Amino acid sequence: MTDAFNMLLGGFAHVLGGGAVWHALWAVLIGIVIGALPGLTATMGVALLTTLTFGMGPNVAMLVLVCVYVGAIYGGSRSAILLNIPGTPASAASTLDGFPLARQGLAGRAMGISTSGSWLGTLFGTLILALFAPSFGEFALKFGSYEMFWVAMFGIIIAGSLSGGDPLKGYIAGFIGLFVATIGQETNHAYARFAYGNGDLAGGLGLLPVLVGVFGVAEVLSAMRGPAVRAVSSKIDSVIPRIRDITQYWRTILRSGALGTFIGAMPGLGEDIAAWTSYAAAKRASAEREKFGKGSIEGLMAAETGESACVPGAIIPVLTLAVPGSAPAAVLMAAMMIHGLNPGPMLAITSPEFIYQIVAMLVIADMVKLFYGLVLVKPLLWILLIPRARLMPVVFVLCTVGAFAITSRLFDIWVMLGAGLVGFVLRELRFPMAPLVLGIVLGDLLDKNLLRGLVLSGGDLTPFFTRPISMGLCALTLLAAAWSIPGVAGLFRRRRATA
Amino acid sequence: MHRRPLLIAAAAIAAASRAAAQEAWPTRPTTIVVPYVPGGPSDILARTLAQQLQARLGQPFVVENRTGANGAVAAQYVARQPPDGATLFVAASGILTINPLLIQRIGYDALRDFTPITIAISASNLLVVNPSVPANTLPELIAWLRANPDRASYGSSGIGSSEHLGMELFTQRTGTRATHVPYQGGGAAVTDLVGGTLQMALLNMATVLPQVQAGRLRAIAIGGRARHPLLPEVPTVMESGVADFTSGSWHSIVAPRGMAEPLAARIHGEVTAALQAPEVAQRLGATGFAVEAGSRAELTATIEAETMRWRDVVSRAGLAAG
Repeated sequence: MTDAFNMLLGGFAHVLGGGAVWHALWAVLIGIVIGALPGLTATMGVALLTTLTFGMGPNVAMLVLVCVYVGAIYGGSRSAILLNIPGTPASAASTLDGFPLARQGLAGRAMGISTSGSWLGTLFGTLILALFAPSFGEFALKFGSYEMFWVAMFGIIIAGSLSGGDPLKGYIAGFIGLFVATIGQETNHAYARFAYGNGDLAGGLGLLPVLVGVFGVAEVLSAMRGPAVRAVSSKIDSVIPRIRDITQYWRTILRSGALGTFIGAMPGLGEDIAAWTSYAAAKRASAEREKFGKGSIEGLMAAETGESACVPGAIIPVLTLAVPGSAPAAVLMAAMMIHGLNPGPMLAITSPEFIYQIVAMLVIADMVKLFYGLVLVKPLLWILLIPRARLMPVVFVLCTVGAFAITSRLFDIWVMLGAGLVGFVLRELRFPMAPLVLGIVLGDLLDKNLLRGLVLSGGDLTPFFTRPISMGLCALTLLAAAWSIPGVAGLFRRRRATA
Repeated sequence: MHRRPLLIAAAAIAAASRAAAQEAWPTRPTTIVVPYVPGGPSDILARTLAQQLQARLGQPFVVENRTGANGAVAAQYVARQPPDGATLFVAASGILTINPLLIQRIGYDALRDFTPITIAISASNLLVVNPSVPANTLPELIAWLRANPDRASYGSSGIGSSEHLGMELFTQRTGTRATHVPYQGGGAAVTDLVGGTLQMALLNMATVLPQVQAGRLRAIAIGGRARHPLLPEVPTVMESGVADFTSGSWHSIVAPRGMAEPLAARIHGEVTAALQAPEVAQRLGATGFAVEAGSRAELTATIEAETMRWRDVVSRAGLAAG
């Protein structure tokens, strides 16, 4: 233990110095801006900055990239809270309660909650990284295609609880999402599904254009339809994160931190799934479930903590296995290789101190994020003072640029517009958007792993049930499914009461 | 891919610099088109080159990522640009040799639509097995595969990747059978390979090297023409008895078709000179690729030879275009 502590101190000593704070300050800010702009993702941010770090030493380069990653995941929630448009896919879950809070005139408070949740999430994940990196990485390796199938299945089942209001409408929205995920070539034989001979459709519908459409364009359309809403930012609103929000929801923070870190460490899952899962789990466990989706502090806290804990989580398998836990972590890993740092199983033997240097970088990035969280709130609130008639055209342009930016395909703009229209109609009919987006995110995971698992087993379904972790996950999924049947949970509670 | 002797490279540079004296570089900023998202080898190559060329020529170089349809979007775009030197394209081996065989109406012709400049970098694929597979050498692996037909699965970074077709070529040459399981990227395949769900794979060396060094995967043979300095004890597939077998990937620089000979020679000279800079070799080497910087004719010959070879593999494997 003292060894580890000394190495951690050594890590800080190594990283701090040579203008580290200055680098952290500008890199986190760039990250926040990239994250806040719809269409520019954390992955793109880290990738674009990688090339800027060519001339830097490996230490500074890694610090800059870690800061951009941490900043971008946090920054995405700014636009989610203020405009109902997630800046990155990771922040989609933050719109559910963040935007309603902003509408109630509590945008400053919402950003404060987001800041404290995100700050604690990254801190929690970093602690896990420092203490358990090797064993955590080892465990992640046990999750193959069969297990990932159940992870996705479990996510879809608990997503039923996200519907709020009419569960049937929630499930319908979820199935639309699952359907959208199946459009395009499947992974095993590149067989085109629902493409009707169209090359663009065969490439599938991108998550980002759909997300920008369903949230951004639909929001613009709603604003056009509805009567002019007066900006309510003048309401008394604290911008400083409240200690009470943290102490009151410490269980949610710990749960979301653990879930986020764990999901981060799983290769193939990312910040978006971490946020959704934390949100759904918080809603299930919450005593004030009815507030979720209407401006729940707990809900926003859960989503923010989950997505930010995912960042150190995703770096764990990079360091221990040379297998990235998320898309931005994959780019970070490539950058480590370019800078001659060799992540992977040998790292613990050849340069164990590097793990603690990364820990130090994550802590520095997290502290700088907290700084901006406190400083940037007031200027960001000005956005709310802009009349919606002037703001919405700008938002629409940003949405279009965002949908186009990733692949430069005109098709993606059509997808965005189509998704926007569908999203608008569904919203008017009071269908929830969360299951729809979750269906798209998890549907892809479910589909790929089911098909891959079946190819691996030669069409045999038994490995999905007989492998130890699969079996456990399957049982968990069935339990969750049974629990969602209204009578079952009630029956169980009554029995316990009579016993 | 094999490295050409230094002498040839030097001669090429000398010839190029003669051409350079005659042909002026276009005054417009040059765009280097990358067919994939930022962060991958193509992107790193483009940005490294842009930095070097900008310093050498004192004019702006812009990297543009045009992704989609496995590189076809970028290829079609470049094919339509004027051949004035203002557009260059980082074309991966799959885009020029494999994809046109797998995708009908791909919208470009690798030989007709581009002016070849040079193969910039290349990497060999490494044949690895999970340690539970009772084979230490290639003949042992072939014997095990023959004794256990259809029991083995191999992973790749995707359908039509060099790793997929390399394994197809391997099973065809050795008369063995194994099930292909495509992943999205080699990293995802490594997880299942180490976990034991997959038995083997022929993957990009940089992807599997950390696992081989840690003893989680066993290296059987390397798909290059020569052994790799980082794994000197691992023989090549050809050394181990499979004739005429190489597997790897490369990234080339090409320009739109119809470029005037002097300008193409000038660009070749500048690009190869930039690639020869020590820091370039070091940076690209870290991603597992070795700098090639060969001649223009060499690139054309490689496209022709590999297209012919993969056409045969694709038709035998029944991977008909769809």
